[in-house]
Amino acid sequence: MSLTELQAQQVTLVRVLEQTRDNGGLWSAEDAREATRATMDIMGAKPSFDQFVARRAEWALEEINKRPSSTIIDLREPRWPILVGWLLVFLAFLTGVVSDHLATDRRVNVVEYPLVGLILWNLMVFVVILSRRISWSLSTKHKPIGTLIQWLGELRLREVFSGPTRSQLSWFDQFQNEWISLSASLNRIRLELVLHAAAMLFALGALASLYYRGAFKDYRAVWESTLFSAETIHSIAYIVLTPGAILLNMHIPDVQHIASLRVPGGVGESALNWLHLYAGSILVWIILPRCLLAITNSFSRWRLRRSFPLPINGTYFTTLQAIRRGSNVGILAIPFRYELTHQIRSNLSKLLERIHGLTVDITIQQPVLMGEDTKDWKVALGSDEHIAVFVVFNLTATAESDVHGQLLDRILNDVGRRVPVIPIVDTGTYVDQDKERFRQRCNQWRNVLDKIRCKPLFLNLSTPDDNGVQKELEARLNEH
Amino acid sequence: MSINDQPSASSLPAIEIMLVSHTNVGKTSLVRTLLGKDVGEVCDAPDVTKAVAAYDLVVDEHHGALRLWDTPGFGDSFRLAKRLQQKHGWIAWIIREIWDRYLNRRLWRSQRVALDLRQRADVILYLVNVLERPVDAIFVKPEMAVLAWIDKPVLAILNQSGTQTTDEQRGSQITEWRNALASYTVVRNTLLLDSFTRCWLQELVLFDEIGHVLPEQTHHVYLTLANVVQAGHQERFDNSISAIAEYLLRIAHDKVEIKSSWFGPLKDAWDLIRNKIPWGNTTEMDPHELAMESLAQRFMDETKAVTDKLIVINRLTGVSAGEIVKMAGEKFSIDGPVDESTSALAGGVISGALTGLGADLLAGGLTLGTGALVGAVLGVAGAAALAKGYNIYSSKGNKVVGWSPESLTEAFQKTVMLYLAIAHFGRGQGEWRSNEVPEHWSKMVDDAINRYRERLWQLWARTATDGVVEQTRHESEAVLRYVLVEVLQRLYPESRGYLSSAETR
Repeated sequence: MSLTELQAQQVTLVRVLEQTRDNGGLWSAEDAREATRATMDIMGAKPSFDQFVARRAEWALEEINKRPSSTIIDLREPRWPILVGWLLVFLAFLTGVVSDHLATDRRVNVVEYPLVGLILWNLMVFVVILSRRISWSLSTKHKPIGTLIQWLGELRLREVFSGPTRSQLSWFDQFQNEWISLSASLNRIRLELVLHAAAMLFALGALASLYYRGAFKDYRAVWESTLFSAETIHSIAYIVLTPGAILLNMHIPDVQHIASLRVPGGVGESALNWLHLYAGSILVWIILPRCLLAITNSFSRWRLRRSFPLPINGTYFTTLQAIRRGSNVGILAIPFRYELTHQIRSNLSKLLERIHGLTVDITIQQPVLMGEDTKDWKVALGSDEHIAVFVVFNLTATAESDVHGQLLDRILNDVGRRVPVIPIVDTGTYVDQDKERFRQRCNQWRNVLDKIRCKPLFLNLSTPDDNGVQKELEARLNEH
Repeated sequence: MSINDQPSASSLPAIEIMLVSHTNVGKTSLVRTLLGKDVGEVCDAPDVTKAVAAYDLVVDEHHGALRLWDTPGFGDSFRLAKRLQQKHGWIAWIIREIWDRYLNRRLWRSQRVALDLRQRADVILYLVNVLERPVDAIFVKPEMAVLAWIDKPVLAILNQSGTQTTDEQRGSQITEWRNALASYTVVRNTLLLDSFTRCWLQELVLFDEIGHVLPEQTHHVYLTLANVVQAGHQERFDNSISAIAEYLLRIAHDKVEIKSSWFGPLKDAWDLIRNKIPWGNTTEMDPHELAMESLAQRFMDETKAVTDKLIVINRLTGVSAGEIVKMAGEKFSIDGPVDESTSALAGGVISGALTGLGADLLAGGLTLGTGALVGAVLGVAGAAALAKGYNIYSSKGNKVVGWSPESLTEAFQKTVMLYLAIAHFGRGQGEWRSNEVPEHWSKMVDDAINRYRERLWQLWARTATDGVVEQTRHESEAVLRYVLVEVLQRLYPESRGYLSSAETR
């Protein structure tokens, strides 16, 4: 896969346009066919499929932009989200500087609780990141997008997309939802990169402030506590400061030394060594891991921007691939003992277009009866190759193994297992029945088709504008 | 002579009515509905009935029996038609009894059914599923060929039409089926009879049609037996009317007396004012509210009882209204009194100070209280009317709370609707449950009641004073019968003959 983020965005936009007839006349079936022909002429047969798809989308958008200005669609690099990211990092540094009140009263605590808290917070974040990565790598579930990523996706798209007023575009919502979902991983990485950099800069800001003030004033290292003994303070200091001590080749003072720094009573000592120890420890505990994570995120972002993981194995793409190979890209719908009304035919066509794209040739045959002529299904099936065959049944009919089951079995055997054969059972004519009868009837169909290892897909073809219907059908096609 | 109580066939000679259809069209359900008993197995699946079964509908020692036959549905109808048209009997026998019996049992069973029909049937009832369009139900054509081969009179039954037969789409489906079946000469007539939602009058029309297509020599016997079926339905109709009339009179006569004292009106005025002050509201019910609650409770009990009774009379079983009452009972509450006398008093005592309060009271504080509960029993539409429907009057110095004529008329209307729902609930549908009733029924019932509104009001007034006596009972039954007959005649004009006799009882 070698699509850039922009190319993937263009491909997604064109796909959305090609999966709906209601695109305001922006892109027709003929335009889609022309885009394929033109791209094949420009590129020839050699380039990979993803390059073909990307060039085709680019060509399509160029073509759209040649049209009257009201329909110009321009996808461009966003600027504001990048600026906002830099601003956040800068603000984090400033906050780090401002929030450092460590050296007030010219004293540095041996156990500097705010710094210890900062270290602990960062450690906790690392644990969360690690456990989340492990759980994601083990889980096959779709990662939730999350509000922040959704918001970031919308912000970026607002910047990226320059076209007609979005509210005028019925297809824009679909494009937005799909693109936010597709780019969620990349946007998550972007967000994490900014957050790691901000966390790093916050810690650096705090340290810078500490050193700045230490350079011009004589700070004393002391400690005081009602609860803790010198031994406890030593233990905490030992755990927190060991990485800094190792890094800077310094030693951590022993218990007696720490006991002598207790106030009131003692006067403390110069805080210089303690500042160095804390600086080294923060470097090891916070800055280095955050830097490493930021570098990893930068690399991932670089990789994803250049090689965007756009799934091109969906039904729409397999259709395009078939067209490119010069195969017949017909879809066949065979109603069985079911005379489809004009409305249902139109709904079914729209539904299949939404899944396969406008370029596909949809043929809805006259009903197969398998009556006196027991071979009429063969005539309906024809000899042309199809990318999918839909057999449409009516739920009002009683499913019979030696009729409905037999027809499906014969079609499955005839087309071979290469081509998906999906039995659609139209529930539209049965929806008035009570729920229990409806459930029983659906189960009856399931039982009969299960015998030939076929799973019926129950769709209400009278109202197929439901997105769920499309997803269900697409999932079944992709199962194949 | 009697309607057979046992779901089995006697050894008496019988007029055999055999039900056939493509598989899973609802033969067993129709048999159950016609018998008023649960027989056979019912399930939404093909080939549920695997063997022919006979059930006597009417048994008469002298005349024989009227027998219904449930049969396995036809499957693989095209091959069945071909098999039966085999000219050489011995070849047909070999194919059927040697080949099909072991290799295609379903086809073998269908052939046996066809042979049985040819041998036994006096009349064949051929069922089709109205939900399927004739153009899709292509098995009908070969099945008609099978019926032609059987050569017995056939009546086609349009099943699964539901009650929404005036619905445009359903209406066109029914017409489509009538036209399609009319093209087959073997079909003598086509009748609309949904085994789930049929009315008993449609059953009578069916039995009448059966009489027309039977051979002449059986007419006398058949008429005797069919009259028993008709008498059974008429009896159930009469019993239903008696039960409903009794119920209406009981609630019309029901009242609660509240003892009055000289300071009663003042106390009412004080309670009224106190209830309108946020901190003055008490949860304790006053005597009026208690009286209304007690009336509503008895109303529910009576409604439950009459529903149970109607279910039993009409040969049904299942969840009674009691269940509904139980569910609604959880929400039982009275929001506030509707006491017109008190509100009038309040208006007099503190006129001007409570502007709008009177209107609020008259609108009915009870609309969401007991009214909702009553509405749950008889349908939501009646809730508001019943809630506002308490009548309070003085009698011998005491106050009496009873139902107002409006609410009693509303109860009358709802009970007529309840009867219609029960009368259209076929036993084949299973246990009784309240289904949605077509809207046009309600309008028909209202139209009919409007014609008798004055008589009803007089009846309520007379019942309130005289109680449930012979005269009020007779009047109540008469009005109820007129209304029901009028509605049923409008719904089923073809059954006027059966209803005219009912009307004059």
